[in-house]
Amino acid sequence: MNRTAARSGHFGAWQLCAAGLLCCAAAHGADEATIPDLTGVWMIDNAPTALHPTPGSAVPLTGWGHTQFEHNQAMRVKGDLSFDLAATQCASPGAVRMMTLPYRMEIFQRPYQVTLLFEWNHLYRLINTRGYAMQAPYPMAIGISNGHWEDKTLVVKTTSLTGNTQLDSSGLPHSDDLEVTERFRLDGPSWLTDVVTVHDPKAFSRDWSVTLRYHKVAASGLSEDICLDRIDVGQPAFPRALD
Amino acid sequence: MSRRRMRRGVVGCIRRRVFTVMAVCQFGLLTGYAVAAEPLALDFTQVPIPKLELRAGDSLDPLPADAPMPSSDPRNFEGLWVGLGAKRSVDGSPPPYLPVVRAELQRLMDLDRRGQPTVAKGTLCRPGTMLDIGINQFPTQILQRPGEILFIAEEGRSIWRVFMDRPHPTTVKPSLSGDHVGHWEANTLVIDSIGFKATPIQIFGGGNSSALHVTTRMTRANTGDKRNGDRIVISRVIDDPKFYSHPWTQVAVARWRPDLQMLEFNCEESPPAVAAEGLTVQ
Repeated sequence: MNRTAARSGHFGAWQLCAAGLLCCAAAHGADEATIPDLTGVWMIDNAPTALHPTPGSAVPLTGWGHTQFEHNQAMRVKGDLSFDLAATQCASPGAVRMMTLPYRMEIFQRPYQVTLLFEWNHLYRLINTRGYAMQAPYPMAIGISNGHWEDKTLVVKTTSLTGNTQLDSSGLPHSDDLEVTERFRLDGPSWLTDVVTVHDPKAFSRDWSVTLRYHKVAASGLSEDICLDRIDVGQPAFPRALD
Repeated sequence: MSRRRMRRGVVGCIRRRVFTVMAVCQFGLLTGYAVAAEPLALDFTQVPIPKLELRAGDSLDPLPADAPMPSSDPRNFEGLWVGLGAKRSVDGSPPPYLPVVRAELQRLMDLDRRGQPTVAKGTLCRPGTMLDIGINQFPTQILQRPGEILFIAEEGRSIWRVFMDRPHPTTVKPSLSGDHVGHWEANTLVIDSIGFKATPIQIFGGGNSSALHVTTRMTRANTGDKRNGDRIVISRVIDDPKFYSHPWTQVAVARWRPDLQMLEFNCEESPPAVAAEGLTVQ
C-alpha cells in the first residue's frame, strides 16, 4: 500500500487549514478560540515502572495476558530481556510506554497536528487533528493517532499498533488488538494530565485507565540522545528508568 | 521486501539509503532540473522550478483537488514536504573527495562487488548528520515559530533545530544533530550548521569529520499548479576539509505534501537482519 492510499481521502476540513495559518482543529464541540495550548517541554511526574488502573487496583489480565506477563516476568528474573526490544535494541517502546519514560517530552501544537517529540532516542508521535482519520499502511509501535478536541480536552485514539511492545517497563503485555484512547488536559499552566484507557480484549478482561501527569519544565529544546550508542558500550537503554 | 519491512528493518534502512543514492542519480531524469555551475553563488531567481509529470508513486502522486495550499508567506515553511531527489553536485561532478576518502570508498565498493557489503559500526539506525530534506524521498515535517524552525525527518528521525535568534554558542558539544543558526536573505532561509560529531565513511554516502560546516539555503517556489504542489528549492554548501578538497554544493527539491503524515522509523527493531542478509559491521 502506498502512502497516499494510507490517507482517508477526505479533505474537506483541509480547505481552511492552510498549514496552520487558520484554525481548523478537529474541534468536536470545542470552541476553537479557547482550545488550550499544550505547547511546551514536559516531564512525567513520578514516572511509573508499572502501570496500574486508576484508582489503584489490579490490571485485569485475561488468561492469555496473564500467561504473557508471567513469561515476561520469569525472563526478567533470569536476566533475559529479549522480550523487551526497547531495552535490548532501542526499538520503539510503543505509544503507551514512551509516555511513561522519565525523559523530557516536547509538544508542538498546530491546528492540523499535535507533534510529540521525545528526548529518549529522538522518538516522535504525531497526532492527526485534521478532522478526518488517517489510516496506517501497516501496524507500527506508535500506531496511528487521530485526535479531536472535546471542550478543553484533546481526545486521541491510537490504533494499528504492533503486538511486540509492552505497555510499561515491568513487561506488561498487550496484543495487536490493542487500541488506546488518551485524554490530554491542562491542569493550570504547569501541569498536563493524560488519562490513558487501554482496550485490548485479548490481553485484558475489561478496559482500564491510568492517569499520567506531567509538569512543565523550562527548557529550550531537547538534548540529543542516541540509545544505540549506549548499547554499544554496554550501558542500559533506559539509564533513568527502574528496569 | 515489503514496504513494511523496509520501513522497520535495519536492512530496510540500508536499502533505503541505496534508494536514496538512486534517487540522487535519477534526479535529472525526474525533474529536468538544471542550474548554473556556480557552486557558491546560486541565484534562486534563475532556478527553473520543476513541474513534474505526475504519476502514481509516493513522490509523484497528484495532490487531492481540495488539498490545502501552504502558507502564502514565502518565509513560512510550515508543513510536510517530500523530497524529489538531488543533483549530487551543482555541476554534476562527483564530490571532491580527498584521496584518502576516495580510497576508502573504493575499498567499500570493492567489498560490495565481492558480495561482502559492509556497514560502519555506529552508523546503523542513527540520525544522519545532514538534513536530507529534498535529498531522499521521505517526508520531512517543518515546524516553524518565532525564533526557531524545527525540521523532523522521518528517515533516521533526524532533527535539526534552527535558532533564528542567537549565534552559535562559543563552545558546541559535538552531536549528530549539530548546531544550527538561521537568518533570512530576502525570502531565502540561510542555515549555518556546525558542531557535528565525526561519522565514518559509508558506501551509501555520508561520513564527515567534526570540521563539517554546512550552509543550507532554502527558498519557497510556486509551481502555479495546485495538483503539482509547491516546492522548496534547497542548496547546501558542504565544507569539510578533512573529507573534500574544496566546498561543494548539492541542490535538491522538496514537494508540498499536506496529504501525508510521517510514519514510524523503527530501524532499531530488527538489527539481527544485518547478519541474516550477510552484511558485515565494521
